[in-house]
Amino acid sequence: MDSLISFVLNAAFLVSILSLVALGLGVIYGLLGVINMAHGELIAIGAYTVVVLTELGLPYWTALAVAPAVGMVLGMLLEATLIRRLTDRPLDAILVTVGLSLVLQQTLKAWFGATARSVPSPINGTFDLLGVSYPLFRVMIIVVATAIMALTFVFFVKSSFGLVVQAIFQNREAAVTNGVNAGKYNRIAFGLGTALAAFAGSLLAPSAAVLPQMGAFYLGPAFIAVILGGEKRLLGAVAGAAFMGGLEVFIGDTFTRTWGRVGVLILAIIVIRMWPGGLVREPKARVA
Amino acid sequence: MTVIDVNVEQDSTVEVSKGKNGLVRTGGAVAALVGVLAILPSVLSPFNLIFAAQILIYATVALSLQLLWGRAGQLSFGQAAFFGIGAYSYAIVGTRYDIGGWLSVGIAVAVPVLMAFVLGYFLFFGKVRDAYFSIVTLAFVLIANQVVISWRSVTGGDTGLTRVPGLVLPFGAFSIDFSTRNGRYYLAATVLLVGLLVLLWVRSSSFGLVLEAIRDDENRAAFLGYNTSWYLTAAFTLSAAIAGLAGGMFASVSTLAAPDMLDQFLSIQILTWVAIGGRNYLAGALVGTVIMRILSDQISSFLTDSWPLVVGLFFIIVVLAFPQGIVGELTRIKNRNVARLGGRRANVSPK
Repeated sequence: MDSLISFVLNAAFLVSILSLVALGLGVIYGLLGVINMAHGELIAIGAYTVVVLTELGLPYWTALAVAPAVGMVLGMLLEATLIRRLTDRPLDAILVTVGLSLVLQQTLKAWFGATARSVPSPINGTFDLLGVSYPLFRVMIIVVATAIMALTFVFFVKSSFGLVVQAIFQNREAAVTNGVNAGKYNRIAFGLGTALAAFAGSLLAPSAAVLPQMGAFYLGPAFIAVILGGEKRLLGAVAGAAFMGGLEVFIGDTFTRTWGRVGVLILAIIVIRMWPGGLVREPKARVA
Repeated sequence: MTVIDVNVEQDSTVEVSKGKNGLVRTGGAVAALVGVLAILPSVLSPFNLIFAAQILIYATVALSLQLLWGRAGQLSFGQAAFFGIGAYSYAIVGTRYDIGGWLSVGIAVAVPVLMAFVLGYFLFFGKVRDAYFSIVTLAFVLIANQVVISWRSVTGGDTGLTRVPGLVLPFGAFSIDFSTRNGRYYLAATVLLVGLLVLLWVRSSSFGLVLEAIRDDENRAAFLGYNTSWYLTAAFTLSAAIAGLAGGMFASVSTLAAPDMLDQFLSIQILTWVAIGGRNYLAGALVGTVIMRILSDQISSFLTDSWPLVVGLFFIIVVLAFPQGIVGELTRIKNRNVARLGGRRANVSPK
């Protein structure tokens, strides 16, 4: 029983972070058709934003609000300068974001050094659930991440912006013919995706070693989560993240952490091969 | 999809220059390459000679990726996995079982070939292509890297395997010792030439032409009766064979096998070499690797750790401004000049 509860909590923690990252990737891939290889560096940028602000003496919660804004602005800038030129060249978009990832990572390294930074945890207590004590801060991360995901879905389903995005998902040409300024939506969607990544990074900062390459650990599984979920369904990205995160923690607890990583990647390859349309089966018209 | 169109057009201009004339030109280029490779040992210092040997082997891996990506149109993030598996196979049989000579070369090729065949068969016959294929190869390199780091008893973990024996190849009564300083360089040069000749053969063979047809339009190739999944699996396997050979010989030349020969960062580096040189050209892979390795080395001498910054910026600029890479851009300029001068190939409209 104890091990079951700690498994659920550990899995929920990894899944909530992975979901945010995968959701950001999924928004960008779904709308722009761009595989953003620099997504991991945006996680790191979110975490470093927290490092800088808390070192300036600001409370963690302020930093938590600023980090996604930094991610959003940076993402929109990148879209306006680089990605905009590449939306009809998907392969070159992969290459440019690969280059971008090298550049961002090295810039972070030059700025903050290659040694790990850390952020003091803003909440120190533990949380008792049926006899298992778990850091309260991690519980808070799970709650906040879930809330942000729910907000993102509401935004895509209910807002007029979200409706237009769904229209572009379904049929870009028809949407553009009907007067949608696709460029504007691309920019906001890219910014939203990078904001989610930066937010994930800022949530991670107090419980992880903040390093320029910290995002690489999440990027691979998040990509696979997006593809598992089916490329144009946002809920699919979350389902994929749940599959990847839950299974990794389960195999990792049962055997070793290495087997957790290896096993989940092998299973992901098999799932992509067997169900190329993704794990979530939904009518074509639905997006979120 | 405009890029693809450009590829087709440029490739057709390349095709025009084939035939007898092209054969002479290719032969001349290979002869010139052999000449340069033969001169280098007497020009370079011993230290630079080993550096050159490593570049030649890296260029061989880049060539193997060019086959899969440029010719068959499938981008792999996993080329370093096959390189590293080749390196570790050679190093493990050499240090633990005292196996050398032809057998160790065979093992360095056979292990990656087997893995690539199984993976390629599994993926291509399941209609896994393009972005999905790229992501799966990324997963593959992550898996391979994890295994190599944690399987300490066999692979040496984070430190890898050191004091890997050099290669001595028996030829009947003779044997060639590739473990001396110059020998290691000649080994690297031989590996490059073997890889290059195999790939030149592919380029001129019907196998290579079918791969190009699949890259341009797989449905059409399938309608013509080609089993495209077999062709892609074969291309993937051949590419892994060359990468594995290069990896095994890299372990022999540098006398070690380490986890950074088998990670996503090396995969991405190989990718940048091919893209910068020109993904549609064999010469592109060579030129890209030589330029980028020398550039990285020069930059790292005064920027220590931040050379990836410059490499990354350079890479972004090349992809944005010259999507066909250096060789592709030079070919385009040459063709345009030929057309402007009203030469024989004036009917080939420049882009």
